[in-house]
Amino acid sequence: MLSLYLRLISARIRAQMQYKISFWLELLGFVLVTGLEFAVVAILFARIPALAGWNIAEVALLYGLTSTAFSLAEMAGRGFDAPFELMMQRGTFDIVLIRPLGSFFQVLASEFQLRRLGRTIQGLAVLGFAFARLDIDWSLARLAVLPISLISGSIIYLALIVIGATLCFWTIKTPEVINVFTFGGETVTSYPLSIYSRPLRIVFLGLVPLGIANYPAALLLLGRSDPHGLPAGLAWAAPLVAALSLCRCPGLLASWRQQVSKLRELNFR
Amino acid sequence: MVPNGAGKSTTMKMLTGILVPSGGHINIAGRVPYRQRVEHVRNIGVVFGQRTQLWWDLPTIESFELLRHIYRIPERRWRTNLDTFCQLLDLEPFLETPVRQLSLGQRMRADLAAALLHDPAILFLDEPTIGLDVVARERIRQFLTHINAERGVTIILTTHDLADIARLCQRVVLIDHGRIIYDGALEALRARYGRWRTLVIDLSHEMNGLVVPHAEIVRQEGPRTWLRFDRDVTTARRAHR
Repeated sequence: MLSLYLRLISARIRAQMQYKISFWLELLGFVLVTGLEFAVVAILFARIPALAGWNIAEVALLYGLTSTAFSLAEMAGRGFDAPFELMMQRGTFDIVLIRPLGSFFQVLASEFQLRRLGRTIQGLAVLGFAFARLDIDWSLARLAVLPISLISGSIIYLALIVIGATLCFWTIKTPEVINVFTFGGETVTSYPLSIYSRPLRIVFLGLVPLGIANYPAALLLLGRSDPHGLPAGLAWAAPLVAALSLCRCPGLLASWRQQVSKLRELNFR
Repeated sequence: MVPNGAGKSTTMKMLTGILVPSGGHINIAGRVPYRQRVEHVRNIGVVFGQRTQLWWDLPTIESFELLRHIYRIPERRWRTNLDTFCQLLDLEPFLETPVRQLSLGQRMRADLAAALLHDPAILFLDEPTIGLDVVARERIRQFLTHINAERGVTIILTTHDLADIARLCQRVVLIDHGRIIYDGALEALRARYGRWRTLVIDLSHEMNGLVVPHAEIVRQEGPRTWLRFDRDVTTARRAHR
């Protein structure tokens, strides 16, 4: 299945490369647009020296972690977004249903947006800036927490994108409401979670657990502790939370299947 | 063969497992298409005349290769099939051309090959000759006749083109508003429904008491007159005289 997935997305990437100029322009566009996101943060810090005790480099670490994770999720998962919406509208979902593979797998493999690498580049650049400015006392744990944070983060983002897609069955249009959690979550988790009110912290650590991927990891990297008493070992719980988000996926898959069959009963055009 | 909007595509979609019927039963080769979709579609090939299943931006050959992996076709079998279809459908000249640049006729041929690479027992075609010119239509008909005779592939197709039916079909099912109104051979269909002809004539002036041998006047509106006759008894030319 994995080799078929890789084959299908490599076909998708080759197809995108048929339009090279457009590809590179879009990639550049993503670098610039997402670059503006961090520019806003930088402007803020030109006015204030620190936010709840966090300086610009420390916030850059948070931002870099969440933005890079988001970019990876977007790259892999955006097939569930606009391309899926188009499938529903144009009825090309028929083609998915005449192939001997699960529809969920096919939608996932139908798109791989390499141009989202623009955000990855920007995210990594911000991370680079953070590491250059910060004096991190590197240890094995601190080295390990980096990939853990990025991978867990992208899986949680991916789960959110997929939830958005299953909502699409009800509306035939991808509901913008999921962007509140993806883009909104990205903005919220760009700052230390300690600055938010309790309900918001609960949402972003529990319900939409994007905060768990980057905030505790940043605490660990910086040797800080959370003023609200978040346990220090929470950074290592991120993979578990990501796995749980994925485990929601069987449930999600079941509801996906249900929606697909409902759609097939309704004659979707 | 049915008028537009009578349920042809819906029937096709139910048979291919895309749609779930609101009532009744479907059983194809021992399977219920909408329940055992994956097993069912492994056994069938589908071509939608208006929509391609090929990868739009990639050279045609790449779609065939991806399908080999999707259907897990043994490489040798795939190669033999591809060679056969290349020969029969003359695919060779455009194997390296991106699908989006193919003419409609080329695309349809490529789609046919794509639907048959995994040796399906049944081939479903939804208006396979729509929009094609006479030569392209004929080529596709020849190909379908061939795979039906040589490979024993059962072909189920919908069409508006009577020539398609005359050339290809041993069995014709007519559907009207979701009901089967005829099921049998084309010849018998012709004999049953094609016997009576209606001739509409415009006279120079209104005429009452018109008598035409072997034909009856079914309607008159001013100078326009509708004549009905049995084509086994007389012809339009004779009735006209």
